[in-house]
Formats: sequence, structure tokens, C-alpha cells
Amino acid sequence: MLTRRGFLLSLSAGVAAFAGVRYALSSGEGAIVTVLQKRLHYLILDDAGVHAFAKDLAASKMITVGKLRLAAAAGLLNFEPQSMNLLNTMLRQGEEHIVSTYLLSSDFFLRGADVTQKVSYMGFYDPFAYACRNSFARFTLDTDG
Amino acid sequence: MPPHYDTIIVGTGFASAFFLLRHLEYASPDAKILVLERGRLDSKKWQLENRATSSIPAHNVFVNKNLDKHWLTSPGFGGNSNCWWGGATRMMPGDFQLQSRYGVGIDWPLSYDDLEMHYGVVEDVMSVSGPVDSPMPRSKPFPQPPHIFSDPDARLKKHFPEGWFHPATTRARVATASRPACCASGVCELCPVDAKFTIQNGLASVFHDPRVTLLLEAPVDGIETAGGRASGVVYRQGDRTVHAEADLVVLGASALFNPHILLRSNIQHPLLGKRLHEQMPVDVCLDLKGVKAYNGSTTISGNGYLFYEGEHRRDHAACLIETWNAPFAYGRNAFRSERDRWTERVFMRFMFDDLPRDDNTVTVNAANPQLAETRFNGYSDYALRGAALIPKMVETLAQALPIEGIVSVLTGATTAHIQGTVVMGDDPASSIVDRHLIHHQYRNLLVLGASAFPTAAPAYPSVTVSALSLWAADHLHEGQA
Ligand SMILES: Cc1cc2nc3c(=O)[nH]c(=O)nc-3n(C[C@H](O)[C@H](O)[C@H](O)COP(=O)(O)OP(=O)(O)OC[C@H]3O[C@@H](n4cnc5c(N)ncnc54)[C@H](O)[C@@H]3O)c2cc1C
Repeated sequence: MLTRRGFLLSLSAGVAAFAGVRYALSSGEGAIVTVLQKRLHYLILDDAGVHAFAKDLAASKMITVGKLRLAAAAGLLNFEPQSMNLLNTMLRQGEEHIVSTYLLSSDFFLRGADVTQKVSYMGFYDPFAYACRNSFARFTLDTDG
Repeated sequence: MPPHYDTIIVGTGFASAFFLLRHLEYASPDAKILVLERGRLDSKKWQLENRATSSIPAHNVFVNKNLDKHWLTSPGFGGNSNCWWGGATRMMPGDFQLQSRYGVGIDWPLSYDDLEMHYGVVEDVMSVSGPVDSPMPRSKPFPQPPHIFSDPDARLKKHFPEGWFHPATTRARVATASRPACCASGVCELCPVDAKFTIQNGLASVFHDPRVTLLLEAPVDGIETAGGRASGVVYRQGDRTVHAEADLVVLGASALFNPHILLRSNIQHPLLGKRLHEQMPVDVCLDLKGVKAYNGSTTISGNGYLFYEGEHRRDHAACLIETWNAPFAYGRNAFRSERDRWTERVFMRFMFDDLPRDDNTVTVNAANPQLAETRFNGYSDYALRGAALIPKMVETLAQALPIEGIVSVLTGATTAHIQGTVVMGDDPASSIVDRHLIHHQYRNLLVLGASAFPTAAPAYPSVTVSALSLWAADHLHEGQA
């Protein structure tokens, strides 16, 4: 009979094997698209833009191929902040790096972070070219800044 | 016969420019001053087009023997003012008196009060924005109004009124004659709008004085000495080696290159080139609940002094905290991905002072003596003990901030604040320059800059570097005013 421990072990072995296969087969761009679809599922993303971003991000080498393959291996699994083991932390940070770069490269924040509007990719984020396009900074005092 | 000058100055960074500013006030109308700069004049336009602050790569000027530890340098007219982030904090009074107040490290041979007036002049020249209150005593207000806090800063200020402050910074709050206001670009090392003070945009005029001859692409190889005095320098121009004589020689080549030049000149001291150090940086990323970050008006929107001055300095390093208000810097995981919670995250840099170690060094590279060589074997236990307390410090911050979790704690590779390699003090046996930055042995040789710092304060160094240059120039001309 399969004990609970045995069950858990075989389950994690299965997940690991699955992840291993995904790791071996994964492409950097595919991983980026998967991460965006998973993490930003509540946004209306423009498909072509997401793929163009994935291509640009992979080409930028900002995130190493190894890390992208790890993200691809994780696929649709969700790693939450509460589970702070090293692998989870790494994955979550890697995924948020991709999400952050995408959001900065899109018109999402510039249009007031409206989740009901389609989000468009505007071109790979370049802090020098878009220097003063900071939509978070406040330059006048409202109350107690 | 080599040409003769009244004064030869090496370098065009903060140390040299502020020295020259004051020196020119005293110098006679027919004074002859030669300034030698290794690099080129890489204009702001050139820098932006080339996405670099210098046309000379760092590996052309030094070899780093420990690649885990970075030392940053930007050779060229204006030195590291081209790539600095514009943080302009003064040191705290206790930073000058670690030994007498707290029984650790060594005292500086001068006090905060000695520099207070000079700090004020530097802040005026740099048009510094800063808080209306201040963590340290001041005789006059900052020339520019404060920046706007981010929401996390505002909460911290409310809870810790004596512990959290607007940043003292040259990232302009309001436009000056030569700089626009800061727009929180987050890439201050190459400010896209030129909002921070640099020598190029704020103090280049001193190098255009008719008494000054500025030579670019003129690396100094050594100082020449005769009869117990510095007699001049030897430098290169193209393929030529040139000798120039002077009554006064002033080194302002930075804590990396001042010792390199002195070592190459065979000017010996057991401590020369030792005690290379800077603050220990630890980057902490925190998730917040219901508080939005990144909404201050400049890249670093707050400074925490909660863990800076106090009796804890007897046991472990003091700490200055920066709030990073820039989701754009370095493309990190700036945002959360949960809906509506994108900016409920704050990055903070904790900078701990270090007690210098003799085994961290700048030397002359054996294979190519034109290169300096750095070796770094680690921070002091004092700094490490301070950094180990970060979880406790975060608990304290949690009194003001709804911290949901610690996302990451990472030791940074550098604060870019190189110090300590030509130490100052009263005793020639344990220091190389005196309290006025005059070489103990060669009394017409000044060695300016953070190379003289006996210990690293948590504060940024450059306004202290600049104030020290004014102090040194004043002393030189004492009685002449
Ligand atoms: C990325 C970065 C960010 C920073 N941010 C801050 C900050 O926010 N606040 C702060 O206070 N400090 C900051 N600093 C540190 C600050 O830049 C230094 O403290 C400051 O530049 C030191 O001034 P200096 O004049 O002594 O040396 P430098 O600015 O390094 O100038 C030395 C000059 O000497 C020249 N030189 C060197 N060797 C020779 C030679 N052999 N012959 C001729 N010329 C030579 C160099 O080309 C250079 O022009 C930062 C540094 C970096 C790299």
C-alpha cells in the first residue's frame, strides 16, 4: 500500500520529472510568455505585443537562459510569497523581474493602471530614452509628503 | 629646463575642483597653476550617446583581484562626479570621534565643527536640496527645499520624527541656472537630464580661470622629490614623458590612484595603500500591505538615521538607510504581480560603516605599473555584526510600515565610496598626511580626497571630500586672507 509519505515522494518525483522535461524542452521566449500569462492573467494583454516583448527580453540577455528555463519548467505552478524556500524565492523573483520589465515596457501605468483596457507593448523599456516618463513620482505636495 | 609652476594639481574631481575654487581666491593674479587630468572631456552629450560616463574603461586604469567586490571609477574631466548619484549627506559628529566617544576605531584628527562652515559652502556651490530639520547640527538651511517623500518615507517620518529625513542631495528639487529639476529617472549614474551636480555642469569655470592651464589625457606617473620636498611631477602626453616643476604639488586623484601615484614615486609609508575600504551595503526588499511606494520626487526619497548615532556603535557598525524610489533602476523585480498591489514593495539600502583592515589594499600592478591593483579580503567584523542585525532593524521599521514579508536581503557589491588608502592623523608613525592633508614628510605635498578618511562613516563621502579641500586650501593660505 502506498503510504502518505510514499505518495508525497512519488508525487514530488512526478512533478520534478515533469519540470525536468519542461526544462529540457523550454525556450526562453516561451517561458516569458508563460510567466506573463500566468502572473498577469487579470489583464487584457495584446498577444502580438507579448510575443514581441518576449523576443526583445530574451535578446537583451537581462535574464540568463538558465533562469528562463527554470521559469519555463515551473510553468503554470504558482509560488506564493508565504513559501519562502530558496527555489520558490528565486522563481518568484525571476517571474516578477519579467513582469516588472513588461509593465514598464507597456502603456499600462501610463494609462492609469486601468485593468479593463487592453495593455499594449510600447517597445523594450529604456530608462534613458524614457527618462522623465515616471508615472509614480509626485513632484508637488498634496498633504504631508 | 622643465617648465615651472606655482602649483600643480592632479585630477579634476570633487577634491581638486573644490581645492582650486578656494586656492584661486588667494592666488596672485599672475599665479601659474597646472592641472593634469588623465581622462578626456567626455561631454554630457557624448555620455548619453555612448551610454557611458567615461571613454576610458576601468580595466585600462586598474586591476581588481577580487571580482566579487567592485570598485567604481570613471576617468575623465570631472572624475566620478560624472557618475555619482548626487547623495550629499554630511557626516555625523560621532563619525569623527569613534574612539573617544565609543571606544572603537580611530578618531579623525579634526572634528565636525572644524568642517561645519565648509560644508555650508559646498552645499551652496552644489545647490543641495535637504530637509528643513536635520540629523546633524547646521548653521544655515539647505539652499534648495526638500524633495517629496514616498508614502513609506512619510510613514517612517511620522513614526520616527528624529530618525527619518528627506535626503540631502544634489538631484535638484527645483531647477538651477545650469540644471533642470530631478524627474526621478532612477538611472542617476548617467542622469538623462543632467539634474545632479557635476563638476562639468557646476564647477568647470575654475578650470577656465586664466591662471590655470588644464591638460587632458595627461596621466601622472609620479611625483618627483628633492631635498625633502616635492619638486614636481612626471606625466605622459601621447608618447612623450614630461617633467614639470612646482612649489606646491596637490594630488586629487582619488583613493584608488593617490596611493598608486605615491607608491610609484617611491614615497613610502607602512600604511600607504592599505586600509582600502567603503561602507558595507545590504539591499533589502520588503513587501508592504496597503502602502504604495515609488511616489517620492527623486530616486532616493528618504534617509533613515534610526540606527546611526548612538551607544550601539561601541559594539557594531552604524547604519544609514536609503529608500529607493525608482522602479526603473537596474530592471529588478520592482513590482509585485498581484492585481492592484504592483507598487506595494519598497527597496532599501542599508549602509554600514566599516573599520578599515590593513589587508585590503591598493598596490602597483607588477606586470603593468601604470595600473593600480586592488585586493579586498572582507569587511571588518564590526560591519558584519551590524549587518547581522538587519532582521531586528526591519522589525523596528515594522512599527511604522505594514511589512508583509521580506522579499530579499542581498549584500551589494559596492557603495562606490572608496576611502582610506592615504590615512590622515596627527602622528606621522600612524598616518601619512596631517589634519590639513599635508604629507607629514613632504610639507609642500597635499593629498586630497577620501583617501585620507581614517574610518568610513555610513554617510556618503563627497561633500566631506569637498569640504576637506576647502579646509586644506584655507589652512595653506592662513594669514593671507
Ligand atoms: C556610481 C557612483 C555613485 C556614487 N554616488 C555617490 C553619492 O551619491 N554621494 C557621494 O557622496 N559619493 C558618491 N560616489 C563617490 C564619489 O564619486 C567620490 O567620493 C568622489 O568622486 C571622490 O572625489 P575625488 O575628486 O577624490 O575623486 P574622483 O572623482 O575619482 O576624481 C579623481 C580624478 O583624478 C583623475 N586621475 C586619476 N589618476 C590620475 C593620474 N594618474 N593622472 C591624472 N589624473 C588622474 C581621474 O581621472 C579623476 O578625474 C559615487 C561614486 C560612483 C562611482
